[in-house]
Order: sequence, then structure tokens, then C-alpha cells
Amino acid sequence: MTTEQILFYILGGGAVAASAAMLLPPLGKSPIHSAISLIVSFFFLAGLYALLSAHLLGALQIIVYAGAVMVLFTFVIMLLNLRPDETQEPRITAGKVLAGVLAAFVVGKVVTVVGLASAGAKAVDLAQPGYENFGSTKEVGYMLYTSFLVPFELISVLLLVAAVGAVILAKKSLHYVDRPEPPPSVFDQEHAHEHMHTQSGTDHAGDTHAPHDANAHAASHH
Amino acid sequence: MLHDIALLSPMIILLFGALFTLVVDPFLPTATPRRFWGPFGALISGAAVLATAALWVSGNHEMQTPAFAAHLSASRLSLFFTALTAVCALLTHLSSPAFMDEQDHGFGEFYALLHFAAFGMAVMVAAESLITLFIGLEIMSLSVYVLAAFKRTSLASVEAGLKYFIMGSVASAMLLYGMAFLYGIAGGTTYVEIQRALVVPKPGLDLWLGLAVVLTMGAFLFKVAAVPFHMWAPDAYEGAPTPVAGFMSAGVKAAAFGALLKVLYAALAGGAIDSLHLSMPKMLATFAVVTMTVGNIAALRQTNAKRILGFSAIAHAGYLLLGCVAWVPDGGLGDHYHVAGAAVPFYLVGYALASLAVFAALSVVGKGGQELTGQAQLAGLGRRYPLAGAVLTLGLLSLAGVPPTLGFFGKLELLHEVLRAGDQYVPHAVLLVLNSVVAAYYYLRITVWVYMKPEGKVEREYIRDRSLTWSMSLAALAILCVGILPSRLMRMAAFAGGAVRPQVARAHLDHQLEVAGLKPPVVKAAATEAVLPR
Amino acid sequence: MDLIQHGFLRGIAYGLLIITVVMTATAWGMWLERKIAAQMQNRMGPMFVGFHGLLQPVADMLKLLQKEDILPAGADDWLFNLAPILTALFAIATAAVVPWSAQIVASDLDVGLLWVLALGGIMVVPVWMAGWASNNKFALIGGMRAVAQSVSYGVPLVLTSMVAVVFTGTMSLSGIVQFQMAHGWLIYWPPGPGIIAFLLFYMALLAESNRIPFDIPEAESELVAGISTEYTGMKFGMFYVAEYVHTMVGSAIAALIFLGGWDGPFHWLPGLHWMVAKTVILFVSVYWVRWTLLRFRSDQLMRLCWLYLVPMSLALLVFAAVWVTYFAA
Repeated sequence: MTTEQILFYILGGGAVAASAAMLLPPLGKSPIHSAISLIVSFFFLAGLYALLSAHLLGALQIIVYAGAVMVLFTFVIMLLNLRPDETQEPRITAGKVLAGVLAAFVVGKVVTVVGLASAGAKAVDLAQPGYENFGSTKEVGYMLYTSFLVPFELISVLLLVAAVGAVILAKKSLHYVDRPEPPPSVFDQEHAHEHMHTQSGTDHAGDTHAPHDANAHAASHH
Repeated sequence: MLHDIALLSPMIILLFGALFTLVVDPFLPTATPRRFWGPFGALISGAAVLATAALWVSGNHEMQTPAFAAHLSASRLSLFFTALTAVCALLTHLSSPAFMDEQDHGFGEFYALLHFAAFGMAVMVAAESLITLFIGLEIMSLSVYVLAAFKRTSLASVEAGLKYFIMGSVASAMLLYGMAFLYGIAGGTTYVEIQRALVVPKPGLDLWLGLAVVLTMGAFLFKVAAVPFHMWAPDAYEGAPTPVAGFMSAGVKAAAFGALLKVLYAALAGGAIDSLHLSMPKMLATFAVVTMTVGNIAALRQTNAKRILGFSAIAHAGYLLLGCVAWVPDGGLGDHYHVAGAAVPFYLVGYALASLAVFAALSVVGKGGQELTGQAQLAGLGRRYPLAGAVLTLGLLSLAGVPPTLGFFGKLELLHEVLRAGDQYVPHAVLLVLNSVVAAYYYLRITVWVYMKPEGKVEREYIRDRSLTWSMSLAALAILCVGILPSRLMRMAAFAGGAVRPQVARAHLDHQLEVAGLKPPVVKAAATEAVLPR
Repeated sequence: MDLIQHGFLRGIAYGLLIITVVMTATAWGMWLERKIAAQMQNRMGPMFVGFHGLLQPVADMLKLLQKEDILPAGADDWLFNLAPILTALFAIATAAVVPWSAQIVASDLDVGLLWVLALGGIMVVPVWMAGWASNNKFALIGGMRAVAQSVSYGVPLVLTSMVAVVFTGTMSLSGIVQFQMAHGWLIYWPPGPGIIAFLLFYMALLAESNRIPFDIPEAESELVAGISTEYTGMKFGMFYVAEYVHTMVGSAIAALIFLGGWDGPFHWLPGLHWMVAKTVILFVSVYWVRWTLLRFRSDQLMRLCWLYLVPMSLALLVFAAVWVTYFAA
């Protein structure tokens, strides 16, 4: 085994293990621990990129994903501050068992296919002419501004759309002038009722205090 | 360079509309109602349609003309679908302002996002590489997720957006996974490279290819709301603001099918599909039949018009999927390619116009921030608002496939094509017919509610607005006029459908030459190499 | 096994050396700061342990080691214990790629600058972990402020360092220095943008390392001690050390990419001396600023970043690109 192979198995195994830890207990039970596992997984991926002589990609993986995206991710999860009673114990239902069996089947197929098909895979020899600058910053820059100019520009539109959409959905009030909120429509009420009906049984941590407050208020008036 | 930019002109126009709206809107006085952005958007979309028409007329696009290092093209297929999605955007722009203002959510960003969605669709159908396809798909999807959830005060709308978003993200992940395998197999991301790589048989890669194709197709099945990835559709259609639901059912479906046709026939045909021993068409055809049956059966018992149309969209995805599959050359490469291929583009025009007409007519009940499209609430619409009732009925008849509407000829052409594709599709064709009969029941049911149910005591108010009237009338006129004189559109659809074939043939020819030892294998398409000196 | 050929043992040796040197330098960096602060406030500073208090850091460390290790009730023990270790780890890892002279460099990556920025940016993760895991509102608010500040100021920090990359055409730290040795330091050539970029970089650096006037994450008058409120003993010490290491490596990077690194006006002095001198001057200036200025408010901080620093760094980046394309050749 060469050093490269050893490193590959360490990094790849680490990435898989960290990804598995995202979902499986004990870490997978808490959203925040899952997110941290994801960051760890990103680090291993960055290592894999570096191993493939794509140092730039590795550094960007850390700077963008582990550094910026995941920080905001954990930020949101931590501020939601889910308590253990809100992250309910998973219940095993027939549907979930069926889904699990199907998923296992699909995963098994994928693993089989990957195992069978990678037998004859060959690596690209980076020593051959044309690959001297492979993965270097300069090479990536050339590619982005020549062959991939259009996708590169399109991605800026994509990010703009995402930003506009996020602001629209997250902003407190979209109205330009202060107006009282419109009364909920008939449709909303019907739907809200339906919604609570379907969720009653599972969702009582956040909603219960409102009726209690109302009762207390009414009682104090009497 | 200038040539390349000319090919992009429809997209540039749509993007300009989006950016102009976004930049100007914050500087307008706060009290100004924003509904003028609707007609403005219609103008922009109309300009995009005109630009597409100019491109269509101006050049010989029988051969693909990939531009920008083979990432985009203006083939007839791209142009046809670009124009179709731009028309969808145009009609939606006209039907939304009054509705969104009534819902108290008529903001400038709504119209900007409509432009962005149309831009994403244009990119999707013009894409000649997997990367561009994916980015176009994401631009469209993100815009539509937000549009679906745009009425934030309504739980239903937020639920629609959220469901659509979560399921859509899974589909995007599947698509990327499949694309990664395709890239690994072909060593390139453009359709040309993929096809050239796949035409040469690579025995060791069959399994990879199967995995790649299954994942990619799965993502497309989601985008068109086909079984088994259809669950989001009824909730999303019911909850989204009505004009947006129309846009989702018409525009998104058109763009998704346009892109699917290109991926199937410009990238995978000849290689992927043949080397899988035709199991792919079989699988897709089965999914198609299941999709239409599930959609139609489930629609029978619904009592909300928007939800019915959600299930109807699933059923139509099944019809269209069958049309796509029937296009697959049976018996491997080198046998006959069907002359047609017009059915799917043609059918989509009819379906899109009918959907837009129906949803535009349904949006008149959105007075005062409500969306009352239930069984009892629609009663009396036909008498009190005859235009809306008539347009609704016409659109429903077209969806059901009743002559002399456009939908009838679409279904006829589709059936014709499925039968022509080979004897193995006869059962599918029979099921298609049976399904259409079942579907007629629930379409007519809505008409019954509108015209024949006794009205309640409540005096209902309807949105009466000039641009909404324009939207309804334009859609209805198009359904009728093209329905009566369909041959011209049919010819255009045949051009569009034929546009992917020369490339298939060319790739096939290259392969034959290689086998005969007359030509060295082409490793990389010339067009993908860097255009600037190192 | 070709581990030895690949220089793994050399790497481990260098790693140990770096940790030793950095920790030592940090310890007396703290002493230096206390002395400077004392001078500025007209007092003596540490005087009793050793000559002019030179052994004070050792005494401090012994004190920290003896303290009780407390885990607050309701804290997330896993993250609570992990956070200080990661903070110190990331801070020291940035030091690995800093070239102290043409010869003295542990690992000269071709994307060395990006590596430093990446690890500097990731440092906010353990800080935020600590803030949340402590189960303390002061720590939580401190962590939130740290995230907001670090993510925002990361943008001008990266953009201004990209100005240097555009001018020099490389992301390798030693490559940047070599370019400056040949063409003049970036701070004065081309005239104008270099010094502005340096000042912006310096401000962003102060914010990234949570230094006054940007130290709102641990504003002691409002937040007790910010994220480190609940930490005791050596865990607290690790945060403390990491902060100093971060500041020091940041000063070294600023010296490398704008002040010519180990280049000096006369060459009979070895490069290492120049590099250390520049780093120390910048390091000291950070404390000069710290003991002179007042603290910003949270919103002022954000406004300064997004309305002034980011547009200015973008403009500088554009200028750099134009200069390189049309004038440099």
C-alpha cells in the first residue's frame, strides 16, 4: 500500500464515519451534534480533495462549507434550541419499516454496482502532458473564465434568486407602510384547524401554553 | 461572439426584466400599488417570445448550434420550449396582479421572481451540458418554491412552498448524484461529449450507466410530478397562490419535459438506452401508466378544484411521459427513427394553455384575501361571472381532450405516436384512452359545480380586472384558434422534435466510421476546448 | 511504506517545533501586553515573579492548571469539552504554513494564504460551540456576536488579501514575498491601494481576533466574559492562548503579504529578524489600539463592515485587476 492509499482509506473512512454519525445515535439524536458531524465530514472531504492534488478545492471546501455555511447552519439549529422532549423518540411504524427495507435495497444495489463496476477503473495519470497544472488555482481560473463562463455567470443569478427568496420569506413585514395585519381568511382557519388536528398528538410542546394563557386571562376577568 | 449573444437574447431579455424590477421597485414611493409590474412583465415576456421567434425564423437550426463552449444552444427544440415557457410567464404576469393585490401580497419581488423562474426555464431547455441544465433547474426551482410560499400569512401557502422545497431538494441531490456518475463515465459534461462517449460500447461501464440513468430520471420524475415522486403535487398546487399554481403546472412542466427530451435523446440516446437492453423505456412506460392512473383515480374524490387540478397535473405528467418513451427508437441504434417526435411538444402547448386558462379563471374567486375553490364555493360562478365560467369550462374541456380544443389534437397526436412506436405499447395506449375517459368525469364535475349547483345565500364577490380578463381571453382564444387550425403549430412541433435527431444520427455515423477504421476516435469535442489562449 | 520518504517524520518534527515556539512566544506575548498596558496607564505591571515579572506567564499557567474543572449544569458536555481544544488546534494550525524566512517554513503550500484564511474562518465554529454548549445566556449572546462579527469581517479580510494575490499572481505565501522582493512591498507599490488594503486588512484582523474596538463578543462590562464565562482552568487558558496565537499569526500574515515578509532595507541582517520585527511591531500595535480605543456597538460594527469595508475592498480588488492587466506589464 502506498501512502496515498493509506491516506485515502483514512480520509474516506473518516468521511463515511462522520456522515454515518450524523444520522445514527448517539450523535445523530441531537441536531447540533449531527451538524458538527457534518462539519467533520467536510474536513475529511477537504483532505480527499487535497489528496487528489486539488488544493484550492480543499481550501475552499473548508472556507466556504465548513467555515461559512455550516456556521450559519449550526447558528440556526442552536437558536431553535430544540429540547430533548421536542425531538421526539422515533416510533416504528409499518410505513417506516417498508421505507427502511426499500432504502436498504437501494443502498445495497448502489453498493453492489459501485463494487462491481469499480473493479476495472483506472486512475488518470497526472504525470502525462497536459496535466502539469492540474488543480492549481490558475488552471481552475482559466476553466472558469473560458469553458465554464456561462455556468459561472448563471450561478450568480442562482445566488441572487436564493438571496431574494430568503429575504422575502424571512422578512418580518413585507409591507412598505405600516398596516395592521389582515385578519386570517376562512380558508386559513379551515386549514389551520386541519393542520392542528393532524398534528395533535405529536405537537404539544410549543402550542399548549397559548390556550392556557387565554383561560387564565378570562378567569381573571371573571 | 455576437452570434453567441444573439442566441442568448431571450434569456437576456428575461433576466433584464427581473433585474430591472428588483432594482427599480425599492425606489418607488411606498404607497404606489405594484400591480403595473404585471403588464410590464407581460411586455418583457412578450419581447422574449419575439426574440425567440426571430431566432427561429432567422437561421438554419436543423443542426445544433452550441454556443459558449457548448453549454447552451438555440436548436429548434430549445427555441420551441423557450417560447412556450415565455408564453406561460406572459399569461401568469397578466393574471397575477389583481389576485396578488387582493391577497395583500402584491410586491415587486413577486414579479421579479416570475421573471427569474422564466429565465431558469429558458436556461434549462437551452442547456447543452449537465452543469447548465442543473443551474437552470435550480434557478427555476428556487424561484418557484418562493412563489409557492409567497402568501406568507396563509399556512397552506407556506406548507405548499415547504413541501415543494424539501422534496425538490431531495430530487436535486438525486440529479447531482446521477450527473456525477454520467460525468465519470463520459469524461465531460456536455451532451455531445456524453453521447460520443456512450456511442462507443464500454462493457465495464454498463452498471455505472444504469445507476446514473436511474438517478437522473428519478429527479426528472420528481420535477414533472410523476409516480413515485408525485406526493408533493396536490398540496403544492392547492396551497400556492392560484396564478402561481397555474405557472407551476404549465411552465415548470414544459421546461422539465423540454430538458428531459434533450437529456434522453441528445445525451443518452444510442448509448445509455440501448446498452440497458431497453429496460429503461419499459420502466419509464410503466411509471407513465401508473402515474396517469394514480393521478386520475385520486382526483375523482376531491372536492377542491385546485386540488383536483393538482392530481390532473400528475395524470398529464403520465401521458407526457408515455409520449417521451414512445419516442425511443426500438431495436437499438441504426433502426428507424420515427419521423414524428412532435407529440410531446405539441401536447405540452395544449396542456400549458389549458392549465393557465383554468387557473386564471379560478383566481377570480380570490377576492378579499381568500381562495375559495371548494365545491360549494364555486357555485354560481358561471352565472355571475360568465367570462370566467366560460374560460374555465373551455380550459377543462381542453384538459379532458374534447374537440375542437387544442387538448383533443394533443391527445390524438400522442396516441398516434404511442401506437406508432411499436406493438409493445398497445396496452399502454389502451390504458391512456381509458384514463382519459375517467379524467373527463372529474373535469366535468367542476363544470357542474360552476353552472348547475344551487348558489348559497352568500353574495360572492369576484375579482374583475382588466389584465386578468386579458389573460383569460388570450389563453382561451389560443386554445380555440389553434384547436381549430392546428397544422401550423404541429409543423413547428415536428421541427422542434426533429431537432435532436440529426445529432443522434451524427453520433451514430461517427461510431460507424470508427468501427470501420476510417476515422480516429474523437476524444473531446472541439467546441468544449478553451476559447482563450493559455 | 514510504512514509519516511514523504517527509512525514520531518513534518511531525516541524509540528512539535511550531507548537513549542508558538506557545512560548504567546506566553511572553501576554507578558509584553501587560507591560505595555501598564506603561500606558502609568503603572508598573507584573514585577514580582522574576526580573520585571518575566516569569509571570509561568506562574499564571501553574495557577490555571490547579483550578477546578467545572462542567455547568445543563451544559452539552461533548461540545463543551471539545470547543477549547479545537480553538487552540485551529489557531496553532494556521501557524504551520507561515514562512518565517526563505528557509524557515514548515509547509509551503501553493494555496498557503487560502489555508490560513480557511482555518481563521473556521475558528468561529468552536467559539460558537462553546457559547452554546455552556448553557449560559451571556455565553450564548457572546457566541452569537462572535459568529455575526466573524462571518461579516471574514469578507473584507478575504477580499483584501485577494488584492495582494491579484498583484502578485500567487497564493503561496513565500511566492508573495518573493514577488515583493523583486517589485517592491505592496504597501507602497503600486502607490495607494496597497496601504488602503493593508489598513482594511488590519481592521478586519482586529475584528476577526475579537480585539478592541471590535471585542463585543466578550465585552466584559455587559457579558461577564462572553463565551469563556463558564470555562475554568486550562480550558479557559486554551481560549486565551488561541486568541493570542490568532492575533500573532494574523500579524505575521499581514507582515508577509503587505510588508514584504522577510525582506528588509539592508540584507546583512538575516530575513528571520526582519520578519519577527515586523510581526512584533504589528502585534504590539494591536495592543496599542486595544488600550487606546473604546468599544463599538454591535450595529455600528455591522454597518462599518458591510457599508464601508466590503465596498472599499471590492473597489480595491477591481483596481488591482485593472492595474495588473493594463499597467503592471
